[in-house]
Amino acid sequence: MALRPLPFLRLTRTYASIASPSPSTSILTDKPLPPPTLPGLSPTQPRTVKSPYTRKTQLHRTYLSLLRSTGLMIFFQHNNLRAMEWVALRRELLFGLRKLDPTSTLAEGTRIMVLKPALFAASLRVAEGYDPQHKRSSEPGGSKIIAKEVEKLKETHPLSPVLTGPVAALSFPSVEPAHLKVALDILFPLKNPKKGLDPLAISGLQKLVLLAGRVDGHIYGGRYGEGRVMDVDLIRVLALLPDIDTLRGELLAMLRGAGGADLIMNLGNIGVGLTRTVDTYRKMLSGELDSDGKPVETKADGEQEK
Amino acid sequence: MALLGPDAYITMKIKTTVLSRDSEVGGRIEVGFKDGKEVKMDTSKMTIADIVEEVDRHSRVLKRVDDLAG
Repeated sequence: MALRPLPFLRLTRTYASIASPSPSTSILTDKPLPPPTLPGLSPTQPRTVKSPYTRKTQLHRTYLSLLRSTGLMIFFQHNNLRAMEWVALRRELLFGLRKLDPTSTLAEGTRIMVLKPALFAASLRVAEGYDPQHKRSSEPGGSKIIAKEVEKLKETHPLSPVLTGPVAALSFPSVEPAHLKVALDILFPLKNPKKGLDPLAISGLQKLVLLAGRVDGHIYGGRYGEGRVMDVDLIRVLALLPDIDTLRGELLAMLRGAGGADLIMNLGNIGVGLTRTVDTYRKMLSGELDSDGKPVETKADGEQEK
Repeated sequence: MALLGPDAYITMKIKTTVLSRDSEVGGRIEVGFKDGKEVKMDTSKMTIADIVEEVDRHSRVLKRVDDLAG
């Protein structure tokens, strides 16, 4: 407990020295400022191995958080697009997704991000080689321990041949085949570009080449880092699937049709039985029932205990 | 592809096919020049510099013909 106030004091001292720099330090500013001294771990400043001021460190962090939070990513090559063409493509994508479902925020969450392939590959190795085994590790993503552990993925990972040259990623916050289909129709049409597109967007999408996709299993049950790589044909197939609720309904109907009604009933019974047991136990604890499961006779006792 | 300029798609006709993961064919490039000559290359063993060299060999000849005529 005696050590507790120390970080706080250190922090205030740092701020004070920044707020009132002595004249000598303001002249000698040839060297870049040293990284701030951090008292332990802070939620706003995650632990890092290399200097947080470099672009590479920030990009590595960005890519890692993108990989950990993204359900579906599509990788594509972009060949010398002009800035206006990027703007037009992003706008068409946003409008197209909004038109599909004006109420959801998925359109705003869908992003096109131009990647640095080598850095992204390094982040991908951390996300796929390290995360599944170490769910709650506080090891910073750029550490040498992780890099050594996941080095073998350099050759074996199926995405590594894709991540060369100018690569960009289209990331969706969740796997929604309908949205994927709209995005594919706009960005990577099979034959002619979609009608009514901006001419700038049309000239831009001629320079895009769809390469691969990655689906992460983290959405269902917190299993991140277990991504699956899809090639172009698989992406197109995924875009044709109905959404997850429809698929669940179909599975249920199929089970019913194949005489699996007992199975469904049994699966349901477990939940119902458990709920009843827990509810009875709760009532016993709160004094509504006595230990034999019979209702308590005197109301006054029950009220006292409540 | 990244070596082509941003306006290359207006002046040339470019068709790209991405091979699937388990495809047996290696990479392949076919270039048709404006005088009708066609060059075919198997790119599974070539580097990008080799490809550029091969394509430039004929385009230099074409350029010289253009310069002499114009």
